[in-house]
Amino acid sequence: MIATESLSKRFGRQLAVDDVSFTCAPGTVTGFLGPNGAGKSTTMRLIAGLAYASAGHATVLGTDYRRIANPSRHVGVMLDASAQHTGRTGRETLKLCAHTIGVDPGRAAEMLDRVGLDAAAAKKRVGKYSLGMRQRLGLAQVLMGDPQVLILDEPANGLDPQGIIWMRGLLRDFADGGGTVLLSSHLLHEVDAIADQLVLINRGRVVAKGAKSELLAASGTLVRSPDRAGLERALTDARIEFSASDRALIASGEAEAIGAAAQAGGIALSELRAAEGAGLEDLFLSLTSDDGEGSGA
Amino acid sequence: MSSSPAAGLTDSSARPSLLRLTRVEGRKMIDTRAGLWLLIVTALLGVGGTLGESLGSSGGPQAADVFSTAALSISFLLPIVGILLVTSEWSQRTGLITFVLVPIRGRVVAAKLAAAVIIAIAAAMISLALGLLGGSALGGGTEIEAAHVGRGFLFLVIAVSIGVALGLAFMNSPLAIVLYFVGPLLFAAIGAISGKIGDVTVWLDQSVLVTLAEDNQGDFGDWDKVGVTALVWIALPLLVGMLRLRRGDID
Repeated sequence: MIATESLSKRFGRQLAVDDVSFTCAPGTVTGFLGPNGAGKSTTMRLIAGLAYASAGHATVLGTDYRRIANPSRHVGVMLDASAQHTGRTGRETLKLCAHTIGVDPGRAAEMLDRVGLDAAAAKKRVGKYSLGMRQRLGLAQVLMGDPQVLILDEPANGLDPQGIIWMRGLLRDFADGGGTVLLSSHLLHEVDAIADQLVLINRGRVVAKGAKSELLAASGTLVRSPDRAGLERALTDARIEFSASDRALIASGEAEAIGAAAQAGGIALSELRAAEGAGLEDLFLSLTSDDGEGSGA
Repeated sequence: MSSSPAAGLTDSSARPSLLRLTRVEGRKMIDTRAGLWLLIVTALLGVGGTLGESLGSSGGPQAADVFSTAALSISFLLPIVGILLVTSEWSQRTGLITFVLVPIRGRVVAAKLAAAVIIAIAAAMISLALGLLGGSALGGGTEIEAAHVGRGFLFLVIAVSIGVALGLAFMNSPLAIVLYFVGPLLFAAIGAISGKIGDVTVWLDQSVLVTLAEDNQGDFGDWDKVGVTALVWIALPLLVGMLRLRRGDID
């Protein structure tokens, strides 16, 4: 359980985080989406007690993170996978963590195995790790304390496609086991396949939030025709609103209505379906582009 | 899992103990190649100083002299160990992990200070062993005053604490290291301008600390200067650093 309430953080005259409120329930994965510099990392730092809020507050498991006696036994926080001591080996990094939080140091080998870092990688210094390996090491570290809550900042950064699929599985299992996951990304497709809930943030403000299915339902129907100008005319005639998406159009309304409009205009369609990922991408782009700010919140 | 805090979640008895955290900080000093080598070179300086003292003295060195020399040689780099123990959390950005694992930041500082003091005591024991070894093996005699030994220990503890304090005040390795080396010289140089300024800077330039280790007999009369120096070089930067750390954001 994670909750933020009107969380704000001011750096000088700039509001990096502005009145951010959302909750993450046990058993769910929440995707925290926004372009670089939107305030995702700062929000996560506020939740994990590394930064102090200018206003509002955040709780994890019903309390201020800083008040948790041995937080890593309950909450796994990874804010930057590259923030590891380059001179330490992977194994030593985990052992140090084990000694700090009081778990069996033997768990280090177990967790390395779980995140797919082999014996050779375990002995290597972190300075020789790729970003993808550091992400895996960071995940191993947050799992050391067997937490119920995970807070991960850009965990897919640097992972190869296989690695992203692997991580999805790991986080899905974690949530299905009753855990709470909050993960951020600036890339939609990284969280699209795994998140149950989305929080979209831009310039420090939440611009959309809710169950992914609801956000998607609002995002329309993808329609494509070889005669794009004709299709646009037909939709306009039928008073159906639409927006351009790549080579297709995203129209508001159900597929039936759009198909009928195309038929009325004598337009042959090459594609007609619920917008799904494409719609989410549009939503993401429109909500986070400069002029689209706030249009969907 | 409920929305109210679970039982035991905030129970302070579940906190990692200071002893545990001190052991972890001690481990951080030696679990990287750079850290380990810094300690080895620091110890080798002590051995080198001992050899120099032994070869330079006619009729064999006194244990007390060798002890002083070993401690002074070790003190050259020991504060750097203290500085890096703190500043590496920023230069390597491991603070992001350290303070997530231990959110009460003062506990991390306390553990670092404790670990540094333990290293200083170990270094002092090595110095004493070198002193006794040098004195007996080379025929100069193993006589050494207990008060002198105590001052030597105190000297190294102060030296490493200055490192920790400067590291915390600056949270930046090069800055802290440069100030550690240049600061006392600067005070000495300013002090040399005129006698009156010198009367003030002599309280600040750390030179009294050297006499703490060097004076090997009789009563030591400069405790007031040691106190002021420790206040200026340990308490003050520690306070500045704690204030910065307490309200600051870690990133």
